[in-house]
Amino acid sequence: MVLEFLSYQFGVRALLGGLIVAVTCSSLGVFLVLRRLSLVADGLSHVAFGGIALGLFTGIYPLYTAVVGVVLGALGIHTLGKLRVASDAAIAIMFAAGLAIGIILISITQNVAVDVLSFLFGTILGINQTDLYLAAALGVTVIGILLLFWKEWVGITIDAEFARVSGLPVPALELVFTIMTGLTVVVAMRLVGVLLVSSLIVVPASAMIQLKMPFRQTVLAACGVAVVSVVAGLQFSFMYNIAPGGSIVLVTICFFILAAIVARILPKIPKKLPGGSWDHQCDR
Amino acid sequence: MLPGGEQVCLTLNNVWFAYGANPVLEDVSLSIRQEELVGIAGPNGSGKSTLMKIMVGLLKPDKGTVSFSCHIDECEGMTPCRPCIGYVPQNPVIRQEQFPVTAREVVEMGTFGQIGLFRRMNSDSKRAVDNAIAEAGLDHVQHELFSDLSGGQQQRTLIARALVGRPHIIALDEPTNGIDAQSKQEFYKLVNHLNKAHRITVLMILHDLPDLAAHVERVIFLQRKVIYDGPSANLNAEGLWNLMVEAGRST
Repeated sequence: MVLEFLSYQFGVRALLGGLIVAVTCSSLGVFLVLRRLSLVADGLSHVAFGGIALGLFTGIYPLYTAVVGVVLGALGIHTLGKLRVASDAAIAIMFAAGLAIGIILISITQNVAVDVLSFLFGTILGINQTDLYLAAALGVTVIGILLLFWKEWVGITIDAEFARVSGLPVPALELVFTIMTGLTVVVAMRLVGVLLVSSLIVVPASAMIQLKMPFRQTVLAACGVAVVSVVAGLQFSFMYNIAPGGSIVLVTICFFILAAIVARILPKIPKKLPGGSWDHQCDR
Repeated sequence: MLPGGEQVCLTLNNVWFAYGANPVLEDVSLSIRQEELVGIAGPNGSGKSTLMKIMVGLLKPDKGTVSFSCHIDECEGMTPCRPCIGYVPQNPVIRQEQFPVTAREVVEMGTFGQIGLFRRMNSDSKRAVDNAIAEAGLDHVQHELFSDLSGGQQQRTLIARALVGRPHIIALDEPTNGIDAQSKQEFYKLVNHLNKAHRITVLMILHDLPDLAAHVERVIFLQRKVIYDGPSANLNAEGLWNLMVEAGRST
């Protein structure tokens, strides 16, 4: 039966959590991909892993420590950028630091193997009410800030140099955006896991960017792809008893391939020319 | 004010700049007068783009000062009254294929700094965008993707974006790179119109020596220092070429 998982409480929670993650990840994803910062999400997801390990080590709820971890990670990337470290190198350094801290803390913490696996691979079907409230709070915050500064994010994405010349506080806005990305990573991590979180940010955005639509439509279309992917991924997961995180990401990959095909076929369809008549008379 | 009653709108005093240990600009001093059409020339690595980035505020000089003297009263209603200067960068990222942004969206960006944080575009800013698009002759392509436009149309879109803030000065970094001869002529016609009809001061980095001689009134030739600053009429293309060769030898 289609959407049978909704007849269970855990299925409804999974869908609600998935929809929050779909909208936040995909909308931020368009900005990140266009600014060639796709790896930020990957880097911050590994910093979040360090935060989770800290939570498991100290006994604090791991998502709270993950939030602290990604904010510190975002500040670290921003600070390294100010020290003229290349952005990809700055991300890689924070990535390595987060992973190293996580591995060390887990190695000295007893009986956490199951918890670690749930964060690495995600447990969307096992999210509890607290996870859902946290996801909703972070999701509303991120989307709210995104809409509040919409024109500023668009401006920085189109041309950061021009945005600075025209008087926008670009460095401060960039830091806020990196923190928003970190919070989104924390929200998504519980559902699809650390290992797949960046794909949910990058793949729907990359798929829709190929279709060459105006900016706003691209963001809306990426959100649409992510929402459909979450619903379809959960359905496939329930039908075939497969991991929901992987299932959701594979659906987004299918959308990417479909968009790539459409993007290559569309330009070959001749545009309908306006008017035009044939009124040639041959005198023979 | 200069002798002869000409107003100075941009002054650089003893500006020095280095990237790490590599000096790029050494003791550069110059004044740009209102409504001038100035070409900045020099060999690769001579500091032209760095000079322009310092002028528009993207880089801070290591030593020396940059000062503007725009008519503040004309900036009423602008918050902040920043666009004394409008900037057209050399190679913005939106030129890359697949960047999902229309020509109109690019021009709209020119209003964001004036509108200020937390505010949306109002009818005045939309009208300013319409006017800038019309001025640049882009009405028929404003809803096309920027990356689908020709090189000349892209350049005019970037000029419209710089114009929408009603700047006193417009600074263009190598604006004729990668555009064909006809688009180049249309570009110079537009720049000349802005300079003469709208009385906008124009600063351009140009590589093409005949263009410098033909389309600007004053040439600043740079080789870390200013080695020529005067009317283009005094320098034919051959004279500029000799300067270029000399500068190349000295590096």
